[in-house]
Amino acid sequence: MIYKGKEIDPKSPREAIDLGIALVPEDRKRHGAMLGVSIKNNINMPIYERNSRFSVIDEKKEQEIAEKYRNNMAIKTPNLNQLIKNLSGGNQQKVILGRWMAANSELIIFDEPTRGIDIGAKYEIYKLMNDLVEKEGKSILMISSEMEELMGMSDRILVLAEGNMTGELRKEEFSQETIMTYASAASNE
Amino acid sequence: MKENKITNLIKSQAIWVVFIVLCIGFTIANPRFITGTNLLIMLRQVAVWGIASVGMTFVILLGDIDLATGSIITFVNVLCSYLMVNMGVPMGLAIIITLAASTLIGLLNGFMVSTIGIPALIATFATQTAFSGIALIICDGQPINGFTESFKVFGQGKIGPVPVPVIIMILCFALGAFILNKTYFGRYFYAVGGNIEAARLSGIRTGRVKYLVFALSGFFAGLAGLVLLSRVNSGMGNAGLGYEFKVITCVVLGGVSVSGGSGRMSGVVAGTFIISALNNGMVLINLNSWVQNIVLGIVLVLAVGFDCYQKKRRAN
Repeated sequence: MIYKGKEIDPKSPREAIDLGIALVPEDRKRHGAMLGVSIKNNINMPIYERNSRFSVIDEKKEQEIAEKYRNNMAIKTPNLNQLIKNLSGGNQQKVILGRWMAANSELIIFDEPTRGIDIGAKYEIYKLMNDLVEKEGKSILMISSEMEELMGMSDRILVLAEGNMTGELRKEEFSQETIMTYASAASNE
Repeated sequence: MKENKITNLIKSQAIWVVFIVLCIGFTIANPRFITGTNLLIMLRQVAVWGIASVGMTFVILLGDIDLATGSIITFVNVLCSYLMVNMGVPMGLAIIITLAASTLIGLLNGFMVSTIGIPALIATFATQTAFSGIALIICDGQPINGFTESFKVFGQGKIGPVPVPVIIMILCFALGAFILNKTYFGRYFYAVGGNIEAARLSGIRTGRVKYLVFALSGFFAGLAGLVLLSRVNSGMGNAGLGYEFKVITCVVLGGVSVSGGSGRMSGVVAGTFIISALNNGMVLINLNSWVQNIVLGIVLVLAVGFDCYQKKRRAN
């Protein structure tokens, strides 16, 4: 894998996170949000070691960071000590995004980011993704099987079929037919 | 709102209510229960379980279990006695070697669970059996006596009116609470116990966390074993027999969920006191020791059953 012009080979999520790569996984409840843990802890989890002295957490900083990203991400909760499982799906997703903002991630991989999220929250997530790119200068790699989402959000689409890349489309080439043609390419051969 | 707070307070302190009721009950059955001498005996006993339960709390918070605790206590008893009596190793050095050995046994458990992937139940069960065998080989099935007078202090000494083992226990509980609430390791334990995959994807090195909790469990079991050895003043090849059962019961009775991810150190303190009151009281009311085992078995089932049934109902 080439990242920022350098060959990299992260062996664990930790190594990837330290390189600035983060994952917003598809199965939010199983892989994304730590449901039994507070919103504050969910946001701070990847950076605790950085914000500790002799393993003791800097609790003031922990609180500040959580508040900062609650505001930035417009997470609807009065209490950051609340468990994340009490939030709606969209707000949970925003907590996870806040986590990666707090960790200074630069490339964020979104795996089916809007699956199981209601329409209103969906648009909020899209808007956040656009803001991440335009205002924060982040890069996004989105994995999706929803055609409108792909064509609406992407600058470039890579089509995969049965594990192989079968096509690369620039914005002006986007169309459902072309994507479908590439997507079914492997099985035609 | 206010009423809600009060009910919450009662709910969170319910376990202490159980403890007080239990003490009142035993006192009525046998007034000797509440005497100073008996409370002192109880406190000394509670210390050994309390110290070991700190490490067990971490393990159970991760959703794992450590069945090696009793066996580590036995091994520590025999090893430390052998070092001091048969090999003439100075007390301080013998203690350090013993604690290092018990921590290493914990690391061995960590290796089997984390690196190889054996379920903790089986891995620690194997360690339990193997090390009770090793302990018996070291002492050749015979008790080892003849420690220096100063070794007695850990199990039998007092600072003012307070027994030294109780002080050690309080320090261990305080250290445990500190680790859980103030250090990032505590945050990691809750995260990994709640959902190991989400924790890993958040950048926690979950494999290392498992090593750490088993090593800590080994260390605290070792410390408990030393206190027990000092109290009994004789190293025996069956000293810690069945201790893991008591320690696990203390921890789950204290509200630490067996499926991992939730529980507090203060609850474990209460759980430990209940088990020791129960244990002591049952002896005082002359309950047959076989019947005592039945009672302890029922207590464990009730404690775990309560937690599991609530989870099940919430899931539906």
